[in-house]
Amino acid sequence: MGRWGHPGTWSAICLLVGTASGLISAPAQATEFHFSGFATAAAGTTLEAGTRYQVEPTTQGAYDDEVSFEPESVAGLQVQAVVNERLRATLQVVAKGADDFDAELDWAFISYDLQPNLTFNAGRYRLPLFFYSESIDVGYSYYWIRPPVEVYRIFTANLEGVNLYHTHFIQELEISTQVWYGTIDSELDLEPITVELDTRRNAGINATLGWEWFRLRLLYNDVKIDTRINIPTGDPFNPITQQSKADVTFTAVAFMADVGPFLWRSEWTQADDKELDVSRTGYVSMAYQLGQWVPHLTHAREKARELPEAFDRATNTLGLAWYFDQSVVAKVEYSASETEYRDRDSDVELVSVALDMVF
Amino acid sequence: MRLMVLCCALLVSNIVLAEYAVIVHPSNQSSLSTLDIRRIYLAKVKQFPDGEMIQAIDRPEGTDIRGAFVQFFLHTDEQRLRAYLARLLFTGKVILPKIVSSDEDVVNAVANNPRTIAFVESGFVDPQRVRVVATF
Repeated sequence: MGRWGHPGTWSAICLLVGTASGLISAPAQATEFHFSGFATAAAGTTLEAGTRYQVEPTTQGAYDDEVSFEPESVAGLQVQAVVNERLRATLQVVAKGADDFDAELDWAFISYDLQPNLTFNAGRYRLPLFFYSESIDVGYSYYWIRPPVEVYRIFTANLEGVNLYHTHFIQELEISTQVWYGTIDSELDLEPITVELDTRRNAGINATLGWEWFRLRLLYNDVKIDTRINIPTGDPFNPITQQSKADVTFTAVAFMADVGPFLWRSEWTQADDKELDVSRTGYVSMAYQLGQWVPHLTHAREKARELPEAFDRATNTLGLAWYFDQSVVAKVEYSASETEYRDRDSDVELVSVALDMVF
Repeated sequence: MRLMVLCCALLVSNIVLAEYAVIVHPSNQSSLSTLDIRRIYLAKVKQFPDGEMIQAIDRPEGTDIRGAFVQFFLHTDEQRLRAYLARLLFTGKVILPKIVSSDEDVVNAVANNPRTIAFVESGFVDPQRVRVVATF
């Protein structure tokens, strides 16, 4: 299966080595290092011969009709270097099963507090598109094995750029805002075809309003993408190349609430390609916490028109998360998907299990 | 009669005396509300009201005091808090507070550093060395 390459890795490493050498020579104050990590061991299978279920957005990892462990198993290590009270650097290396556990530098950025409530970040970071986009690799951060794929398989990427993170309080209300600008160079290798996606401009804003354990998140993101598809021919000097440009606008709303034993999770998103296509995705999910046990139910939907034909998919997921010990959770899920595409219906059922931990 | 008064006094003091206390350095004269303490431990603020940078001290997960603190100030439980903090930690948005196990070490750390805030069993509070900003 294809994987996204990261031609920007080296520039990020150079940036970090630069920072690290800066840290070492910084006088008077000792740099503090904080280490942390996360890991997920997951397995799953579809229930009918010949069916496939894509689960992982960055690697295109998918389950088929035989039990496999690779698609969603992941491990990550993070180092935070605190240089002084205003300056710090964050490095995160992530290895995914769907990528043969090749380690990728997924996060590498420098943070500088311009004010105590205003932080400037520069480097490589995960696109803060939907509510769980940034922590999608950290299974512990949500109660599912994976957040609904209808929403999350669309677009997940690391970008190189800058962002500003601001927190503001109005009495009991808290407003966090993030504004970003960056570029993404990625390559999708679908042997023998290669697809180069060159995002010239990815600019956006998200704002989260929080009160107690209610959170409302709004997002607007504008992306300009140049796509180059290279199809090899007999002549290596003369491959067939198709080029296209796209201008996509994402808008999204998320609402999350924890009320007593009830946990509510919901998101609605829209991707507008302006010329070609509008796709809408969303989900509603509810969980009930019984001590260490969290059963949950989710309905997710994806609808697109003209791609080249209408696409409609709905998935119901029933799952159970068991927080049996500190920092570790065992999860089991059953998902049933129904897809209508090109006047055909197809059903896929998936059973998966996972063990998520943070340390 | 005298015995009864003594008994009543004991009873009242037992009721009034809270089990745990949130403490800061005596030089820190900030008054901190429940909401302020909540924001400090949810890593939403970095400064005390007087502008001093905050170094929060946390207690080990699974201890009675940590469970009571999370319930009282953060209005959640440790399981949910861990998931909430994982999302912030692994996006590089927060540095998690240092964890100190013993109440004595916590009191010493706070007594020696004007930037700290912590919570301990009330019996360990020495008013000469630390200032109580809240009890629970």
